[in-house]
Amino acid sequence: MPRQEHYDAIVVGSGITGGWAAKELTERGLRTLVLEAGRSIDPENDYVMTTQPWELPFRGRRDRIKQERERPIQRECYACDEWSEKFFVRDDENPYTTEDGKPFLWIRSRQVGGRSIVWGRQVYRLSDLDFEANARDGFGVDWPIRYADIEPWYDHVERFIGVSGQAEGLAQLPDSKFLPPMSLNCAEQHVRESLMSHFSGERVLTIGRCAILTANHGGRRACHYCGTCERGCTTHSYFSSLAATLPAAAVTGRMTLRPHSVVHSVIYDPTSGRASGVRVIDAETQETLEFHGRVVFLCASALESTRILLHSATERWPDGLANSSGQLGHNLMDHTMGGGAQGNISGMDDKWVYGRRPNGIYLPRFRNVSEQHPDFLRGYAYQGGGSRIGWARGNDMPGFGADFKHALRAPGPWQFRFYGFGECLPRESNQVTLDPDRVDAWGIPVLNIHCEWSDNEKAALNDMSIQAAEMLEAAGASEVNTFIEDNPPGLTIHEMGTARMGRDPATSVLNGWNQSWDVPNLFVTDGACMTSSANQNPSLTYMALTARAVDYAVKQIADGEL
Amino acid sequence: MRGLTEVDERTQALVGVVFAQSGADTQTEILSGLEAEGRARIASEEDAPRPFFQQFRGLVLSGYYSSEIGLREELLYQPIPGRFDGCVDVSEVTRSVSDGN
Repeated sequence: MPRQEHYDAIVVGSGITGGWAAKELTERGLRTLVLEAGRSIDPENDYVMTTQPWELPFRGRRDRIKQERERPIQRECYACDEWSEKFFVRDDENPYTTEDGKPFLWIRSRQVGGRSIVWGRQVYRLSDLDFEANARDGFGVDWPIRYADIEPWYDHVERFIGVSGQAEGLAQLPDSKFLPPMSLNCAEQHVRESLMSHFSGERVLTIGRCAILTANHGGRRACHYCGTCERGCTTHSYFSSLAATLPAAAVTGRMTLRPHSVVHSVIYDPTSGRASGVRVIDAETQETLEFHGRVVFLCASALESTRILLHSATERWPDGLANSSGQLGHNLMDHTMGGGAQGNISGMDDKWVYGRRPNGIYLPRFRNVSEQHPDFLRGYAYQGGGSRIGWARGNDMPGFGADFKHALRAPGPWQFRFYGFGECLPRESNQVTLDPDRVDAWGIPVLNIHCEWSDNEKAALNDMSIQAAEMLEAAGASEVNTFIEDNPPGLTIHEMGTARMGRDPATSVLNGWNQSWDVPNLFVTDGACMTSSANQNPSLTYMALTARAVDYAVKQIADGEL
Repeated sequence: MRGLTEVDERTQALVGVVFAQSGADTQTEILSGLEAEGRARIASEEDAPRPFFQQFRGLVLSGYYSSEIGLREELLYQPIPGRFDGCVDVSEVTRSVSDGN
């Protein structure tokens, strides 16, 4: 019999949603166990914010042979560089399978703090344009919630994490509770004004909304604009669970955080019809342990939470725990990225920026907001911004020697880039299953991932590029070049779906409270729960749904329902 | 490495000594020739491997601008700027700021 421990609540995962579950559960009085598959992170020693390129063996250009061996997939993420690769899993320990010619790039972290240590920090609310999308065009099932249901939880999360941004009053992108915005640079201000007049206020270029502090907030310090957040911020100026929610949970004295705990499966008790706890493999000793709790929150990331459920099959649910609907593993989505254009902006060569702003611009969705586009459903938004390239332009400049070097002391021309991110339709055929033939370093079956873009995503990607060029031309840009990148699904690192919320237990895995229809004390609050993808960066919505689900679960416990 | 050997061979054919021992004018002449040949190749061949001169100059650039001298003395060294201003006069930031890499 394995060693057993009992808690009020068990949270699987310590990343962006696990941290929120831990904070909200412990602050409501529940003794909570947080299980993390990876190691502890000590910012004092592990963060490399102040490490200079000349202190690294490859000057930041990466040890390509080592990355090929250890992280051939993770290295595709821009942040998995010579400074920060340690914050990403080793692919040799964490394999998964795909069909030939149908790649899916699964970018992962296993560590206390999860991917919140290296995330992109962009935070945007969804609106009813998004929550009503499936019902409107019939792809996927209807969301069981509307904006009014989540709005107070967006407020709650934003007040705690700190979100800088500019209120714009747009229906399709509700404003957050903002700290002061970072400023647009001169080129961005020019493009904003040009678009406002040229598109009659329908295309609003605003500063990116990001979970980076522009003022001291909640005991964390304002950003110092060093510009390389993904190396870990020793002043905790961007939100991560390690910097904010986990410390808040720890302060209550009710959190037990256990690293090196790879969750093998959820334990189902057929007598009570409840999850009684989880089975864990200690990553260091390979010992099998059991932990018991009154409620279980899966916050392990969309695909890891689904993998755990698939691996927790029972006699009643041979295709995965809580899978009466047969939808577990289906409706995998990611955002498309990389349709856009860039050009040069003239007339402000005497201006530049001071400091490195870890944020760009955002141009919210304008397609299919008021009228239907003939070629595609849903929408997309742009990130990007203006910049003056520094010494790197020497690569494409003629010359060498002293004059060449002196020329590179001045900045190059102002360039502006629109880079689009598009919505992905929920489709049953995009799915994950357990691979019967392969296990990871801890003996747990790996996922087989099948995911392809549909014509709808490709049509929107094409339109991103056309519209980006049109906007640059409206702003008087020269040398406008369009691009359409061919990025495989997964690389946007917004993978979601696979245990969707819905209104009907016959067609969804979770109800409107992120609660399993089949196993009432089991909640899934990470990206797995998403019913549609919208086009906004999703982490803020995951956090708000997690806080909302905890509030519901604790009330259910108080009412004797759980 | 073949590119480097070729630089010496060309210099020897021209002035009888290796590149490092030749004078500034000779060095400029050799490098100008290599650069022009490289540019012509980039212009004429699609998907050509990056010619030696352009590849080597790229390594020199990234090597220099990731060194302590390149970052601290040649460029404006601001590891912790402390604030962000989106529109300042170029004179306030006289030299190319490192992009953090």
